[in-house]
Amino acid sequence: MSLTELTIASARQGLREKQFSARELTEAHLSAIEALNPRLNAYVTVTAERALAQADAADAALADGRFAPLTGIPLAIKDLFCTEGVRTTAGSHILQPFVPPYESTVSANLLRDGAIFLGKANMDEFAMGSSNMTSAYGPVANPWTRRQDNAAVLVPGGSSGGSASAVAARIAMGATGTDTGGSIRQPASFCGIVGMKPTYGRCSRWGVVAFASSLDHPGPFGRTVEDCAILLGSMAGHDPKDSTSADIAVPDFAAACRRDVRGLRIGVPREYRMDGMPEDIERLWRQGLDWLRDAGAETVDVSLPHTKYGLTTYYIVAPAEASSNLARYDGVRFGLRESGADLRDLYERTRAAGFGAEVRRRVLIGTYVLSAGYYDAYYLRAQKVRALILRDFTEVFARVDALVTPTAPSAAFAQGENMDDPIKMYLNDVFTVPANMSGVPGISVPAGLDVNGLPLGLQVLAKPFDEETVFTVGAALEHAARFDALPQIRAGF
Amino acid sequence: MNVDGVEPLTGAQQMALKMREDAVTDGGYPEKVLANAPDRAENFYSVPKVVE
Repeated sequence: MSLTELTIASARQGLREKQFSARELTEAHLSAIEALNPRLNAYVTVTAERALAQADAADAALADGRFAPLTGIPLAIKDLFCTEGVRTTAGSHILQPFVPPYESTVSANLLRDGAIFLGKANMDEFAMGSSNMTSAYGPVANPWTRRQDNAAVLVPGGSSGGSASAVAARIAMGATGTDTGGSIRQPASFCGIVGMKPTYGRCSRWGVVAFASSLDHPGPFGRTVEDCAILLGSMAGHDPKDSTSADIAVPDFAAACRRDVRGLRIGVPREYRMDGMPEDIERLWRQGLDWLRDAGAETVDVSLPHTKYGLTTYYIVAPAEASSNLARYDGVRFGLRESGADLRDLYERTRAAGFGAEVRRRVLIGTYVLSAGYYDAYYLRAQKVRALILRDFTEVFARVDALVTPTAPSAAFAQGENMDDPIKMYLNDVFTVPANMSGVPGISVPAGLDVNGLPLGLQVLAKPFDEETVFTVGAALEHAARFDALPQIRAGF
Repeated sequence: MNVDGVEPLTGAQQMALKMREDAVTDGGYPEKVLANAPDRAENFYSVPKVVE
């Protein structure tokens, strides 16, 4: 078996048993990147030399019998995580020259546990998008193609499109992502891999370029549920540098993948049936519930009545926070600077040259909803609706242990599709946004293929800080689905 | 929809913010801080003249 096909769990075993070295594992991934990245554009920066140096350090540790949880495991890091001495762009032209002098807490935790960083993964600009089409460094290709039309290049989803594409194409064993409205779960669904968004506060946001601070969640991608559990175990933990980081012990997430679902109550929210949703997705959802019943869980119809307001309120709250967060890009302290006649002119030219169309749209929306005359009518009102969305979840989780829904209302679409109408693009996140508004943990697990042979994911949600149940139910779906389809573009092919 | 009497929710998490010692915990490396400055003069960022 080729080294790039291994899961993190099995590679860890192989490294400890000296079946291969960390250098061999890293070199296999670097040569696969060299072969495939020109086609996929999943990485904006490849740090080959650094990765090999880290691999040699890992081999030295392994030779001494020092095993950290991720010693020798090569990963991709979304280009939203600041990495010390390695350019961090957030997918934006405005951060093109930015080399952080510090390491984000999440990536530092991964390095502490022995991980190897292959490079920085492409993404929608400032994580604003659901297709990776808004990146200033070009779109990312999904390694999957349609059965009848393999010429059409499909999007990997977004915003963590590079991370998802890299893991699916076997040019990274796992990756970090961030999820503000679905940016881990939707690309995981589009690329046929697992993506996990933990509870708000589980992973520190320190050193992660901010989009919408109350909605941003760092989380892992892997090809199995267990791999995501292993990665999250390293990424998570209290960080005094993020005031919203939760001071709660990190449980053994991987152990939760081996628990069974017997006796668990699974809620099926009736509001997650959408007009115009493909029949394949409906069918897969019913199938998923059957699998869980067969495994001994009980399914219960439930209602989350404010679901339909999720997207509209999200598109007030997220741009409001973004317009405030992005005010720091003014050309003075870091990033791009365009010279101007005076300071104001410098600000205006820098921001006009540095931000793409979608970022400008959201900054404008956010500035509008926060402006003096409209604050109460839009922003304050959206925050009240947000309270009702959280109440929906709190009430429903008093009765059930987890919810199971489709991850996204469609499979991957082609580059160029859905581009004319931003509202249509925003609809991608209809099933994922409520978990960001409420902060509850969720996962997307590949569960089947649609009529075109494209992967579809099912989403599992549970109550705050109960990632263990998310992993237990996710692993049960994975086990029953036996999803073994492979993308057409992948290492070695 | 009716939102009368609903308290606005500012964040996903309802935890009390932690208090910490009011002390300097970091700093003392102007070179690192200024490493990304598009333009600088000694240990300062420089911009076009603001006050005439």
